[in-house]
Amino acid sequence: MLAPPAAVSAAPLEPLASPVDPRPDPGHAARTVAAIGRALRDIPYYRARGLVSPSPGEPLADVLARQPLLTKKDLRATLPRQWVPAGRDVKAEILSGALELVETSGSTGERLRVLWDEGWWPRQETRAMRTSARVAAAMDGARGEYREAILTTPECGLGTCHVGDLPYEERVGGAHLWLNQRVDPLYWTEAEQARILDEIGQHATVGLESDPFYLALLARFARAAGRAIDVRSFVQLTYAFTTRAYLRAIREVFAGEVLQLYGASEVGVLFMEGDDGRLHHCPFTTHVELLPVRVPTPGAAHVALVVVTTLDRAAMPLVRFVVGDLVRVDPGGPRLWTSVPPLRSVEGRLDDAIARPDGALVTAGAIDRAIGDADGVRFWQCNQHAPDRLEIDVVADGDAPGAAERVRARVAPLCVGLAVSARAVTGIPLEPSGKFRVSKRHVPLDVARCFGTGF
Amino acid sequence: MDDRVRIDALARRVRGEFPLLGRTLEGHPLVYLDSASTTPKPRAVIDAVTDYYERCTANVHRGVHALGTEATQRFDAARLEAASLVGAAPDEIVFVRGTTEAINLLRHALSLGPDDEVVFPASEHHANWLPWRMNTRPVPMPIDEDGVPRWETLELLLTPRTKLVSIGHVSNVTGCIAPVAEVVHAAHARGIPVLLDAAQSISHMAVDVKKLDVDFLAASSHKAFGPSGVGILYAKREQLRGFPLYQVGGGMVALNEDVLGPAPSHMVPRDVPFRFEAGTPAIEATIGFGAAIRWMRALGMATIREHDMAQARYLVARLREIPGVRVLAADMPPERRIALATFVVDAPGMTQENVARALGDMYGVCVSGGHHCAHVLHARVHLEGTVRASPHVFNTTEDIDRLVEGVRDLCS
Repeated sequence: MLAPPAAVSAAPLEPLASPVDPRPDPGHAARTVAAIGRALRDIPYYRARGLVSPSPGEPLADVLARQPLLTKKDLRATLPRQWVPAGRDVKAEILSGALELVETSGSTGERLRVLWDEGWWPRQETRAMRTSARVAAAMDGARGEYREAILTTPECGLGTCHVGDLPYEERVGGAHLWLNQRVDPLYWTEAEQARILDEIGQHATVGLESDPFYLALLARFARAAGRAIDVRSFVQLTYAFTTRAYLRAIREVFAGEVLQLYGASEVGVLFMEGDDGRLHHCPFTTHVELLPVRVPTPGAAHVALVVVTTLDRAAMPLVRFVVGDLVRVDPGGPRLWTSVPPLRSVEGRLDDAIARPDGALVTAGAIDRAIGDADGVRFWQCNQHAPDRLEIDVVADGDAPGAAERVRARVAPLCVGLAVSARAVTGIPLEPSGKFRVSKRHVPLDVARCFGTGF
Repeated sequence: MDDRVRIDALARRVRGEFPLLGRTLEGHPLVYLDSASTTPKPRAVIDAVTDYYERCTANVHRGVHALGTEATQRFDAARLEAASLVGAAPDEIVFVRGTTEAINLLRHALSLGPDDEVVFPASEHHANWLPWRMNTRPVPMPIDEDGVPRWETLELLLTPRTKLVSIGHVSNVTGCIAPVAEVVHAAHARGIPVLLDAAQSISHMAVDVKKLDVDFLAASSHKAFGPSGVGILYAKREQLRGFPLYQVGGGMVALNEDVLGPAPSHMVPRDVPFRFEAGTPAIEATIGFGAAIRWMRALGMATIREHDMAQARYLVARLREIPGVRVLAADMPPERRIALATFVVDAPGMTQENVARALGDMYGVCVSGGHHCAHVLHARVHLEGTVRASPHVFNTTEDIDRLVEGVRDLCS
């Protein structure tokens, strides 16, 4: 989850000590309470709301329980002036680079501008990545000088600044290479994909950070062309939900490590996949609450909504921010760095979850597991346009109508109370942001009914 | 199942979705039998268009605000619907104004010269005829006395000068379905590409460009329950990438640096298909087209075709019962035609256009009358005009009975 080139060039990566050994942070709770106290004291947004600061020695759980949940809507209306400590000049600091104003890649209702302290993003991201011993080794030069390539939406997600193609040299910032130059990968030409594959090799890429959908498309092209994805160490999938079909496609042309990294522009990297296949909370930069769903979710146990408090930000510190993602928690799993339990998987956005008439949510992850390795399925998208109806579009090889029917038959048992239909299509539109959503709920959801108080 | 039952079951299920069918004409309930000209629009299409106007009027691929984003999302989704409808990849679909522009774009792209030949049936619509007489040698294939192409003559017409075989998938006059596989086989054996004019077929049956192996396909939205003003040109990816630029302007260019001085390299077009779509497109029509395709596919193309064949049987059989009526290609089996009947009415003192008008004025039945943009066909079968009834999925047997009743009255 790297920032676009301009932001990185202003604040190059700093070498950080690596907390590779699992050492739970004994000060995590106290650090979180202190961060909340600072935010409530210094940030005009919180001060205007008259929130009660933590008392000395007050337990973290009590402090959190008192704070309201913070949503994107709250942020959008008050940025940027209410989000820096009183007395700081936002305009001057943005001009000087002391503050970075970044736009998230969400679609219409989700897009948001966020403030980062200078160099904050790469610092926390590097630290998070290094929690993986394999990634840390690669970053330390185990496979040669660490060089990274990024494959996701181009800097301009809407195409309004499309001004031709930039040569390789102009897409390199330090050790990082930005590969994609098209707003919609569905329209990548063979030449474009061949260029991307060439440049991955030319860049001597050790780590590739990619949107899984984009990489799955590229992987299919590579396989057809008899090529491999020439990454020396690892592929890190982030930005969007990863389906089994994507992973299958990627693994056909890449034999190295494929890892999941989960985070968001507003809060930084939250979880990084460890050697045990679980996603572990990354220490020092956030505290994460996992609010369990009230009604059991079919096909996914221990599903929770992610709520984040940031710990290390002077500008725009967030207290109990609702990221909007659902995860599957492993409550008994090892807590390596903090008190936050590890995740079995990221289950997709809350807005992606299908709502059953009985109140149960069906997550994108549950649907993906149900579809499993259905023959020939490349991509799929569920759309819930009505409370009692679910439509699935399926892109498949070979007998596409047959594949669509297989998908329907596998998903229907999860979606009790909904009429499930599926059809074969040759393409599924991406969001205007350039992201691909595997599931979209177009009917409103009573969030309070699903997760309890605070909404 | 009896044809009457089959036809009415589906028609009654869907006709409530067509607001147009609720109106009257000269005091008669409207009977719309002119879908080959343009189809009525279902509520889903009307809503898609009005929703764009009411909720997200904005230009596409340009606006950074929320409305532009929403409009772009809906517009882009329509291309994928269109691609899925014909089994193509999204980057093989160019949005154009309609079938006519699609064929003209192809003519431009093929850069044909005066010695190049294009073979097509003499029964073709002007849209698939006139472009091939512009700076090119048209080679019309003979047709029989009913206006049906004599496909067996095709191979004789193909020469080293033949640069394209262009056929209507379904004749807009006879309703007969072309033997596409045979045509493609014959043409490809000689390295000649094939254009399929699918204007009359895409709303009646499943069309899959990969299975048919046609090189190009042209179609319109308005004959497939969508708005007018938009259509598609499909071209195989490798063909499309080789096409020269068509119209130029905003939206099709990735880089214009002419400020540096005129040089070809200073103007970089976007990738296909966008390089062929200069200017602001017919946004609302395209969004409506997407909704129309969704609507058809939700109904099921196989279901529509089943209904279509039953309707073809019923329509032709009923018209043939009337003394003094000649139906073109009446013996063509329903498997090889769509529900469309073009006929000649022996009504004293009336032209066929008069007959069509009278059916509307006196019975509320809307049909076409005249030459249906196929002058050559009519000249070759020695007819000064014909009447064409083209029902679709929303028409009941009662509608066809009303037509038959009107024609019978006029004949007597």
